[in-house]
Amino acid sequence: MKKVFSRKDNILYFVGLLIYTILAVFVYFEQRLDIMNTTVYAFNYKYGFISRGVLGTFLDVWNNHSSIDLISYNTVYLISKMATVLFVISMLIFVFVLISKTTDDIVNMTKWMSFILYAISIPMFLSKDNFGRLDVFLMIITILCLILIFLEKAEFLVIPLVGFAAVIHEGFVFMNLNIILVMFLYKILAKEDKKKRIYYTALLVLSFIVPSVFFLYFEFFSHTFGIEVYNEMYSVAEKLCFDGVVHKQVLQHEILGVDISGLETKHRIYNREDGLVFLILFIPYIIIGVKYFVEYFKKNKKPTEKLTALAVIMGPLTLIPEIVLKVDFGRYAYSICFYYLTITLMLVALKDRYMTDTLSQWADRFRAHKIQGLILLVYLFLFIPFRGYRICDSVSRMVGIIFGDQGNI
Amino acid sequence: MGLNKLEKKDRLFLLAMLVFCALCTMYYFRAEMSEYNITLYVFSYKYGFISRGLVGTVWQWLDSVLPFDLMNYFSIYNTNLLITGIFYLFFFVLYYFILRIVPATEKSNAKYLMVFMSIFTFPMFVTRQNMGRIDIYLIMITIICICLIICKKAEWLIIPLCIVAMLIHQGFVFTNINIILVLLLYRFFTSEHKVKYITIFVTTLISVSALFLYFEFYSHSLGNEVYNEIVENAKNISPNGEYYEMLLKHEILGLDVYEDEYFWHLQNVVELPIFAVLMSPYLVLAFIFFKDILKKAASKEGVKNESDRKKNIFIYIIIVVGALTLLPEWFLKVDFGRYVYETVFYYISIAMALMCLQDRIVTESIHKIRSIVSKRIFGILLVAYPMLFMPLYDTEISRLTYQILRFIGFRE
Repeated sequence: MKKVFSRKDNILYFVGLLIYTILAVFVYFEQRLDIMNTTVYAFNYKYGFISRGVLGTFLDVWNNHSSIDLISYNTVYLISKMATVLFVISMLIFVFVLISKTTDDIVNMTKWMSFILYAISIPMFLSKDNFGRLDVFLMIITILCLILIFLEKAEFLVIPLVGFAAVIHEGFVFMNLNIILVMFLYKILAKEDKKKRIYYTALLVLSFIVPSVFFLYFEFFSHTFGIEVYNEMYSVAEKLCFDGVVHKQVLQHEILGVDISGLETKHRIYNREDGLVFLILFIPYIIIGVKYFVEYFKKNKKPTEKLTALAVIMGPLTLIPEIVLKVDFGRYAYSICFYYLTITLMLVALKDRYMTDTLSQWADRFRAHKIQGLILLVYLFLFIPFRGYRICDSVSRMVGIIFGDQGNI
Repeated sequence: MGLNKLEKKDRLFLLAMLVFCALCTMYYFRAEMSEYNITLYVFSYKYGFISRGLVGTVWQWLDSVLPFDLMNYFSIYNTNLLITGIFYLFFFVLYYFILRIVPATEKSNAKYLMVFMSIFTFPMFVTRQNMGRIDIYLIMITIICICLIICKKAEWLIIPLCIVAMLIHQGFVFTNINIILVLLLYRFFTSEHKVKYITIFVTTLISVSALFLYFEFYSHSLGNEVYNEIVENAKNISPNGEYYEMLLKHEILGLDVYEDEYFWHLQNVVELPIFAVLMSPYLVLAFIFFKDILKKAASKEGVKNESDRKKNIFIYIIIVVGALTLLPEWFLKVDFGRYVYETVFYYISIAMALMCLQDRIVTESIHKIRSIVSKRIFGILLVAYPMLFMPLYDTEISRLTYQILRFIGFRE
């Protein structure tokens, strides 16, 4: 800490991040919880070991020990606020750790990338779609795991943490686990000590198996509850949701095991239209990303290196089941951006030669083309914040104009 | 003035700005117009030579000659969509000319200024508050005048253009004419065609001043007779039957609306300091920029004699303080969002125009500011930082400051 804060520019950098956080709260915080994010607090293990039941159980236990009724929208709002503050702190710590371990020659580029990561992450969880969403807890756990892996301290804790994350929301397996597994794989292939390799292999296998088991259980064996439980949970959810409006689909899917794909037709249409428009609008970043990782891949010569590079590049493929079967394209878009930015920063901080070389080359390019870099930075703000089943506001409005749904505008 | 060839990277830059403009429109577009901007369409010279009557007069004339009904909200709204598109096009024309005129060494700085200007402009005029606001006509006219001056062609057109602008909105005399007058004065001092420029300058100044005085003091004589008819018409073209009463009271009856606007004045007093604090990095840079300009102007370097030096001091003081024509608006009116925009527009336009006119002092000072900014790795963020404030509104300065007003309990 001393090392980082002994430099004036580092202090200014973190002050800048704090100022950005404050301004982002004013600009992006919509001070509302989506019904999806309040309804899940009605889930509770007293109805059996159901998916997404941790927080509801926590709220129930807290309520039982409290003299006032905590089953209310305001309590969920308070929990969401605290979780968001915790997320901001974890992001700041993560950026701090990365910068503290990055060599001076590349630290400026690391700061830029960290800023972009921070700039897209904070507003995401302030928007009404994602404020208080279970994803924020998954993000905190993911960041914690990444810090442990990076510092090589108490890495065994990653196993219970990822298991806990899968219990909070089984979507963790697709959305966040990829980066943790890739980092373990990277460590296995990068370490020369055999014992270390075995250790990381065990961590990789267990980190994969534990959440996967939870996922399979939640998907196939946790919906055996009757209509009585449903009705009781529904009435709790009514108390938790603003004006008593409940997200029926999530209850039907998670409690009764009803296939709700038929109810999501409208969302799927939006996904198709949004996805297409987003890919077109986001193309400058996609081109840069593809070029960057192709260059990185080419630098790796040995078969093991190539395998590592391939794992790094292909990591977000774990999101394919979500993209094909589910509808929250805004969350998936963010998850992909988070993955690539974070893996780059992690590998650079771990002094991976090829990733550092690639990033240095791109730093030189941006230095030579500052205006283009500036435009890319300014342009990025038009995609912020990423939302839920709609990707972002500019995309949904363009879709509204092109495809004629004026309700989008 | 010879025009340089537009290089591939310049064309790509303009394309990038176009994409940015399109996405800004998508992001900030609210698909509606405020009562204020609709009500203006019932103003007409059939009620006498009233202020802000030109747009309504033209509109009502079109309504009478065209085979379809224009006196309804949707016709006005759709036409304003088109006009907003044309308005954005004007900025691209300005950028195009600047990129072709500025020396190659200055292009990079000019592009930074363009990005900065675009951040303020493109989000602003698609919001509910400013969509279809007649300011866009004034800005378009100003852009034409700037282009005429920097291209040094048909500058006499400035006189009728400014008169038209005054007929559209007499606020032109405070908000936009400063750029034109300052540039004309600059040309008067620096070019050989002194008679031409002083004639255009004086004629323009007298014309707009006369029109302003007339509209402020003598255009409300028919007010009481026509007021009810105008109100009825305003209700008819509004989608919900609502109209902007204060505008009619002020422009048609000539009443002082200070008390009606008291809340906004109060809000301005609270909001402006907050905005100034958040924008303080730019205020510091602006201070350094102005100080450097005046220091260079006062220097004996590059001047032939003392009279030239005094002339320099005079013209650069005028350039620096040109935006002060907005002071009456800041003190008496309430649309601080618009005045912030006009202030930014003034300084960026003047800087770009003077770069095109190859002014040594302003060009060097811009280089100095750039060197200060580029020394810090995140200096470049200063160009992107205003994105957090966008869009600028009217009575509220910006989205960000509005949220802060809500946070401190000033607004609900």
